[in-house]
Amino acid sequence: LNIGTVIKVLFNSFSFVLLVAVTLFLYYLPFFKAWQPFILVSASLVFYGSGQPALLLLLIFSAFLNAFTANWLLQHRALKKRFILASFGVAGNLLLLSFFKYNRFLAGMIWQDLEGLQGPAHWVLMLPLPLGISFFTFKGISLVIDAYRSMDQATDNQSIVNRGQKINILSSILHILFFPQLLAGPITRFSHFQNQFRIKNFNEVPWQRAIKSIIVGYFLKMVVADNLKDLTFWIQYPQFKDKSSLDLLAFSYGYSIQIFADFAGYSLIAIGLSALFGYQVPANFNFPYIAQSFSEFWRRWHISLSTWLKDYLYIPLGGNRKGCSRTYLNLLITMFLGGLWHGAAWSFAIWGVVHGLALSIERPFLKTRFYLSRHVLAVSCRTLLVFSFVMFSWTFFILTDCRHVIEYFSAIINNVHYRPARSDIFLIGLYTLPVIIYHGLYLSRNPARRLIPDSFNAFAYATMLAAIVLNSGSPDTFIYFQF
Amino acid sequence: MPLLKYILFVLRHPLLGIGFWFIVLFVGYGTLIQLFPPQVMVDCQEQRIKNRIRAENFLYAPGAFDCVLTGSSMTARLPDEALDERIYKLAFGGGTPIEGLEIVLRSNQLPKLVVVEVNALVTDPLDFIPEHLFNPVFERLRSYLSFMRTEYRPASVVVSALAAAHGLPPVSSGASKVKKKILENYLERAAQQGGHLPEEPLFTDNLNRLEKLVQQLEDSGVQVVFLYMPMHPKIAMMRARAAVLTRTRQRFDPTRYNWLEPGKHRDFETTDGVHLNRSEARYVAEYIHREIRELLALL
Repeated sequence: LNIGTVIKVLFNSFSFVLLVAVTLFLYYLPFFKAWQPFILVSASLVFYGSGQPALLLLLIFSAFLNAFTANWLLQHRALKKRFILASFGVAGNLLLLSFFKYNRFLAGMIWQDLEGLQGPAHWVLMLPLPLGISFFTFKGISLVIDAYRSMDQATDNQSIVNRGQKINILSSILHILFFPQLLAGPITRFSHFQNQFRIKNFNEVPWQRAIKSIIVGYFLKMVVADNLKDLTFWIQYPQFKDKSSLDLLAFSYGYSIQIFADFAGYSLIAIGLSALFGYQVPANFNFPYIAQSFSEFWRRWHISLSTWLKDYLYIPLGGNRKGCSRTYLNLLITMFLGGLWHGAAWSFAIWGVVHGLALSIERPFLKTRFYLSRHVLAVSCRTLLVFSFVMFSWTFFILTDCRHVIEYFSAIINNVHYRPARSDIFLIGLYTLPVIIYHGLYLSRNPARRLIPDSFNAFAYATMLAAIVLNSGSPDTFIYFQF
Repeated sequence: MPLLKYILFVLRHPLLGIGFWFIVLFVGYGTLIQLFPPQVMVDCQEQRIKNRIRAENFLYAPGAFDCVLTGSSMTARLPDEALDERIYKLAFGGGTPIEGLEIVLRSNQLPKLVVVEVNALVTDPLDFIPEHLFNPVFERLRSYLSFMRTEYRPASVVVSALAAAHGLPPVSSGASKVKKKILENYLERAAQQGGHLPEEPLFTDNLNRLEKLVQQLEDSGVQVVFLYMPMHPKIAMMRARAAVLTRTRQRFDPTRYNWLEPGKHRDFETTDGVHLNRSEARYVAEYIHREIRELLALL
């Protein structure tokens, strides 16, 4: 990704703040109330166009393709025709995704020397990756499949509308384009959005919830993730080779917290901004690092993607209804494709398979004493096991060449005699602390509910706000923008 | 007691309470920094933070400097004590001279002489530094409220305090020695990468940007001098490095521009193949200082 083109649409840029302010002002002006969806669509196009104007047409095409396909599916009853159209709709989305995101990856399987290609092939390979393409195509696929499934209410209790009923084209387009969620989700379902699609009033805005969500989101991104990013930079090849084992362990740990803070921060900002425009978006993260099993981790991490994969891939494949070996296979296939969704490289696929294997291996043990025990030692062991596994598996996200991943792990083993960079380790500890506290507070709130008094709440948010102003790191794009 | 009533109302209000405590924290921290200014250990900071501190210290310096050195970490690591206070090192670890030149031009603090180190023209310029520096809101705020500068970030202050507690000096004089094995690793990797020519179109784009900036500086009456820093002889002789020097010299003709090449006549010792060790860095800094003084005397 060229940061230069992306920087304009960063959530922490002034142009973005200005865009939100102007959009909010126009959105709630009594005179423009009837135009609210158009205002949001326009703002979304300005938002996307400021980063990648050349690819705006692609986004519009994708939104229209899905909106009209879904609408047509809802109006027709002939099962065969509906199946064919839905298949075309899904295939169209997957083709777009393959053409723009996986072109180099697929071509690399056919041709050895991609740099040597000339003519149209070279032009195709040079196409920039459209921002958020994985997110808006997945939203589109979900819209088409939901419209197709709405024929048979028994298959899906979240059907978007009743059979034979039209959907509002504008609402389905806005659902895909809605700028707070456009670049990195959450991948909401259309049914959820459609239910909220109406004229919004200024006095209905949940200001407190929205602003608190935005503050925590910006804090996680600008203070935690952006500062950690400069410290964990050394995981890159070949820089890591000369770092001590302790440094490398600290970097892995720091990156685990960084990727959480980066993406959870983005999601919270998106949720807060959506709330400002009167749309409720479900949480995308639920304190994932307290998970005690891999299946629990995936119920807490990137919830909208996990749910999407479960609803549109795992369950249609047969889920756990076709015996043990088929369940494991389904898990592996789902996680393999889920991994590949993140990036067009084998390392992402391996990352997915590694998680699929962990889910499969864990499955028979979930009802053993180790997993059922509530003893603090057993709980700590389970949490530590899941966290350590997840932490090391992130290495595949940074080092896209698997040989480098192996070298990284051997450096952890071999570089024990190198001198660690104490200040870097200290800073990693410092910047990861808020996330540890964040998870810790959640854990402690469960039994006691009121560990932190409400009066301290305002002080905690004010501290985060002060940290944003006084201690932000160097701004960078969100990690998940590249997916 | 209406004031107390108002305060209680604000404290109990979920959003006004946040605003109240934010102001208390912001003003409190600012007052603390003004009353007890900490000595920040720049060298203990992470590289990007170090770069930001260096850029801000240039922008908010009370007056213009006679000479500004721009370039990469190779220049940034030259010991300050071998230069003098009228010379400013606006060079950035992981960066190029381009961002330094942009800052000089946008700062309205034009020096008489600018030295451009060209060794690192093959990497992406760190454009976020000028963007951070000239942010429409924070540039002005930082000029009035010094505690908002990167140097006084709470994390920088804490790290400095810890470093001071461990007896580290505020500024280290050049790079320290590294293990032989690490140097061998560096040389091996550099040898692998050095066989290729500089990445295109990045290198040409950088040359074009540099040419424009040099032109603007000259139009403003600033003299521009080029610098090629010495490296480990094995790396200096590599195809990629040689190509960078040749093409840069073609673009900025030595018959028209002054070129400083301290590594022309002898080999230098480095810590990692690229960065000079402490004594060599001092030697080069003294050489550059002498040359700058001579050039300034002519202006």
